[in-house]
Amino acid sequence: MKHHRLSLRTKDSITGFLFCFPAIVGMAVFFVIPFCITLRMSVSENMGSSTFVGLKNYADVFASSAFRLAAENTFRFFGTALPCIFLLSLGIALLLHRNLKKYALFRTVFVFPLVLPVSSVVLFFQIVFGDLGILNRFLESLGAPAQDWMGEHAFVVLLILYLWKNTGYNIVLFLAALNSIPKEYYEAADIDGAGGFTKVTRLTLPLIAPHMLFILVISIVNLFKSFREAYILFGDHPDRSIYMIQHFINNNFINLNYIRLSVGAVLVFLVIFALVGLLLGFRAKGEHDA
Amino acid sequence: MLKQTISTILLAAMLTTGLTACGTGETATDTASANPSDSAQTTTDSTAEAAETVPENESVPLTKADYPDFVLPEATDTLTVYSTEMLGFTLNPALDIFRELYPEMEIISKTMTEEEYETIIRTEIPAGRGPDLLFSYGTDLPDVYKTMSSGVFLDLNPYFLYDEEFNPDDYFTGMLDSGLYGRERFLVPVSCCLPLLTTSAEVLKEEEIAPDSFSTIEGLLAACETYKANHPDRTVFADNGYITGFNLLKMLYEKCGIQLIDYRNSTVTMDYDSLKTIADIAKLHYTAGEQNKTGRITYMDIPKHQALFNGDLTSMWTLFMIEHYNVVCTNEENHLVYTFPDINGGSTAQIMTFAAVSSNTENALNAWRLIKILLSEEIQCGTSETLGNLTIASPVLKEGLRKYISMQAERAFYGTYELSEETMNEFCALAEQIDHAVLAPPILVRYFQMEMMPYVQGDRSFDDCYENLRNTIELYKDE
Repeated sequence: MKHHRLSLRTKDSITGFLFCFPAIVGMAVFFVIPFCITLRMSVSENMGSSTFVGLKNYADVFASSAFRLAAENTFRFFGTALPCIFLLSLGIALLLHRNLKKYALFRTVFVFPLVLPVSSVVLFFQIVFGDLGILNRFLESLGAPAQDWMGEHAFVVLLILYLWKNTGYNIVLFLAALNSIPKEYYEAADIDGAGGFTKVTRLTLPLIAPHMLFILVISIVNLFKSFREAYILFGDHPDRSIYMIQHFINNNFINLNYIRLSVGAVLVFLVIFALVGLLLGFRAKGEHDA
Repeated sequence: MLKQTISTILLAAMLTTGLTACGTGETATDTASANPSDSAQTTTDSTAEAAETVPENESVPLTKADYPDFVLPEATDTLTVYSTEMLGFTLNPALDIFRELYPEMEIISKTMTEEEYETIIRTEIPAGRGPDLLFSYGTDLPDVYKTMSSGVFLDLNPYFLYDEEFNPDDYFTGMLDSGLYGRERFLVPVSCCLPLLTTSAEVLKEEEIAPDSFSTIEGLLAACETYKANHPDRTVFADNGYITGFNLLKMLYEKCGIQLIDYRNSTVTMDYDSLKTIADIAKLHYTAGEQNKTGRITYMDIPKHQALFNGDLTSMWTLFMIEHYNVVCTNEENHLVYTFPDINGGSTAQIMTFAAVSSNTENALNAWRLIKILLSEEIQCGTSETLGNLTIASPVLKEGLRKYISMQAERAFYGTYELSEETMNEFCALAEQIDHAVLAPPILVRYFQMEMMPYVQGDRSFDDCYENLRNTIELYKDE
């Protein structure tokens, strides 16, 4: 009789699968299955019904002015906050990378907001931006009128909150990426007479491009996470300028309208899926071209 | 290349699923200038679309012809109900009667804590599961009108029409019809609460306030202003230790019949003048640092003229109401009681408990039978909960009052005090003035309190607060 032995490659695959199995099970139980249930709910007549209604629920949600406002604000916040944090954290990382003497100190200072408790962050922002806050007091001392920071300028406050809290983390990631570039490349560039700008644009940025993708994805995650502070700071129905998709989803949860909540969640999934797929596709294409 | 593409897609899907879970999972729990063109728009949604199929004239009474195909469902042999200890005071006697009438039925009755009950009805009801009959306090659901519009409750109109044993004329129409959502009847109120203003004739005389001057909220505001002008250091309402400006906003919202949203047409119905009047009343009552104030003014201080009105604006048949009457009369003053004016110049009761039938139930007939028992005279005039609040069954109103007084008289601080027949008739006449009843959604009450409190405290103008509230309600109704 012949003994069929597994090839080494198959054995490696099985071993790899077994190592991944707990994570796959966890992913399935806590993410994939609930998401499939959510998807089914989004095309059902109501919660207890299995009647398929097609895209009627989606049409209802798109017809809702609250959803349209939320979507508009979310895209606007994405479009503003992502470039800001990217450029800000990259710029600071490049500056820090040039002079490493105070590196550890600055890294701690910039990362500190990320580890602060949410309540502390909210309290701080209320103290600074509240109607009777430090900023308004300062403006009044200069003879300027007090501003409605939590209402009229809520978008700016939320943007500052997001940048203040998350820039440090991106700086650390960028610094790690910059440190991975061999010094010899810069020395060679110096020999070739490359200036600072040329070194950054022709050397640094292309070499850290793979890391930038990861940082971009992390920034998107943190953008969604900023809803936590926003919710505590501005409430469940904030000023119209910062009413976002997460508010829409969360408020429908409070109102027990799980169908609309499901639709909102699926739409968010689709948008982020497209975005991340696009980024990964660019990366794959770039590697292929290389 | 194909492998790379597939792996890219899979990786993107996994990342996205994880991102979506990360970003939206950690929400805090309990825990704008409006565009005039947006606020004027009527948003169409599924609720409004359903309204298109409803006859235009909703005031025309329904008849059997509106439900020509309806047949009372066949009897089944089970009934599932949930309850808490407090709700059990009414539900358990009703279930006992149900068992006597239908001994062959299997009743699955679960009693749970208040927190468990709230969690269950907030999860199982929207999921289309849960009990066959939901018997609940009006405040257990965050917004019962939104819940009604989601289709989780059964329309009970055909049961009202086709069941020969049930006579709607035995009930206060204004209260019974408060369960209507358009022309569909999703709720049946079991008990209501009539808001009252109580004072004494001598207090009014001393403050030079005409006794019949506060049948409207504008008149009430004027009376409060007069009292406050005479006594700037006193509170308008006897605070009973808990009626702060913040709490008074809630009470006024509930008692004045405010409705911020027309759910059927999905429009915001905020009346600026009415809301300002109500906020001004709360503002007159508010005292800076009231939450840290020691000592309190109670109904016992009304004869001493330390406040204008009793602060407990709740039920007609509560202990406080009877105690207040006792205290005033014991001090040889003339007790006065009025229905609290609503924003339309009438009287609005508040639904305290209601019954609703799940639209997915297979035991609809049994659930309806239990509702009839809850509305029967034995229950309406027989349990401490329905007696403590206002019965909706008109024939037993006086009997219920008599029964409640005899129950509470032994507990009165000032000994027993019997109400004369004339006084009881006066009290019953107040209940008969009710125009309608409403159920104030706790979530809207909270928004009202949060947005109006800065005005009450003097930190913001009313216009700013009104605009913020309008922004909030506009967003809320469209969600």
